[in-house]
Amino acid sequence: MKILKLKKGKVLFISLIAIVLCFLTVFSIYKHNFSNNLGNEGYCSLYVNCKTILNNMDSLNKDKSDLIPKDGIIYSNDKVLFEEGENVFDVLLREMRENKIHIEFSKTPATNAVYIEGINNIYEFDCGELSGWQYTVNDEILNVSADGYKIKEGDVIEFIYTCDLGRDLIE
Amino acid sequence: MNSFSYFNPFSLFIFFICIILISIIINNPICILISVLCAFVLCILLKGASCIKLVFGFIMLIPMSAVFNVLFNHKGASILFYFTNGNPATLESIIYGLYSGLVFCCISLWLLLFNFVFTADKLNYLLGKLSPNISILFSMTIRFIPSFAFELKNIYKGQKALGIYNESGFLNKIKAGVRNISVFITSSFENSITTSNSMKARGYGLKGRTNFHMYSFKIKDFILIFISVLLFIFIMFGYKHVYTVYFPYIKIPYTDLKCMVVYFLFTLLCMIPSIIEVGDRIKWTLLKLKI
Repeated sequence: MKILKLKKGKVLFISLIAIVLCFLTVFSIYKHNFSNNLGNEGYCSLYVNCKTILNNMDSLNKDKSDLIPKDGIIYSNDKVLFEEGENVFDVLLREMRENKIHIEFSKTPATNAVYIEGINNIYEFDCGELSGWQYTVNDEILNVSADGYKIKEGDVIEFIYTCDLGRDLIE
Repeated sequence: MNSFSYFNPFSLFIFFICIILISIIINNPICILISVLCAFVLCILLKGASCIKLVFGFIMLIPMSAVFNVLFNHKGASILFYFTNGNPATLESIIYGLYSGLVFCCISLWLLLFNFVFTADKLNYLLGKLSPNISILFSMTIRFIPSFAFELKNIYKGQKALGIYNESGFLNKIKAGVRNISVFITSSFENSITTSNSMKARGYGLKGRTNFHMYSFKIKDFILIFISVLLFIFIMFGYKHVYTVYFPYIKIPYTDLKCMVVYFLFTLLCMIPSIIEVGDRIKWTLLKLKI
């Protein structure tokens, strides 16, 4: 059987559509990185820690044991610069990148809600079935995803690894 | 002609099962590399240089799997760069992708060799007693692939000779292709019904019928079964010592004596058919020299 031969005009048309589709997908992915540089700057504090793992070392994935810092603090900075309108996730992603700390997240396409799967290669479910990353703002667990809360001046943002669905963070 | 396929089908089957099971279970890249190399050597010994093209097709899967793994797997400590959506591309995920591509390549190579060695009569011998229906299904399916290709070509030629094969234009081509395939499906259904009817008429699958085969158990068959099962058990006991961690840091054990032993045993298991093949060829040339 011979391979289908298309006319030149058709080839051009199809390739044009393909290129447009490619651009659209790239742009839709890239959209996230355009932050609005209009607002004022401010300072907040950002902490990332996994102290709860230190109490549950026996249920931790064996391959990950040398990733846990001795004091459980992965990152702490009292003065993090942010622009007005930025959310918690933007700041976290920027700071982690600048300090070369690994982070993986996923986005739900419909709601655009962010879920943080792992920081510093410590992933969800690595320390028991109920473990994962949660965040608090001024010691409060919020009911929105990390990109749903806009930072205010002087906020204390903490990303904490929980081993018990957040119950061990309240104490 | 090759001496490896003259073993009893049952022992050959056990050998292949052992090798494929180990290749699936073990997660050590060195073991998989050994397995691929041995399979490649055996491929060349059995089929000559003509199989290099086929093998090359399998090898092309390895970089593809690496690329896909990097796109979807972001675990790993050493970050190379970031994708536009913010997730990192890591060295570990590339290496894991290469490894999984290699596993795919390895399993396909061994199944290709299985296909070379196991002809329809061997499958019939293996499954005939167990379940006549499955056995005839297997052998018919294997037979169908080359006959289908032949049939399709024939139909194409026939349609063209009849003059109803209009190739001008995109739509006409699709129409012609659809008609070709419909003719082909009808004829192949008829073929399979004829085959099954004729087998029924001969009394295939009735109680008390025996299968004709030319295979018998010799000492060498028992030795092959014994060695492959023994090596399989030893390697499975050594599984802990060659266990590889990919995330977050890659740790491949290769300095320890125990893992060296496992590598050696696995090489031995993979080399069995090649050793048999080469040994018999040397024997044959020596005998020829005497004349």
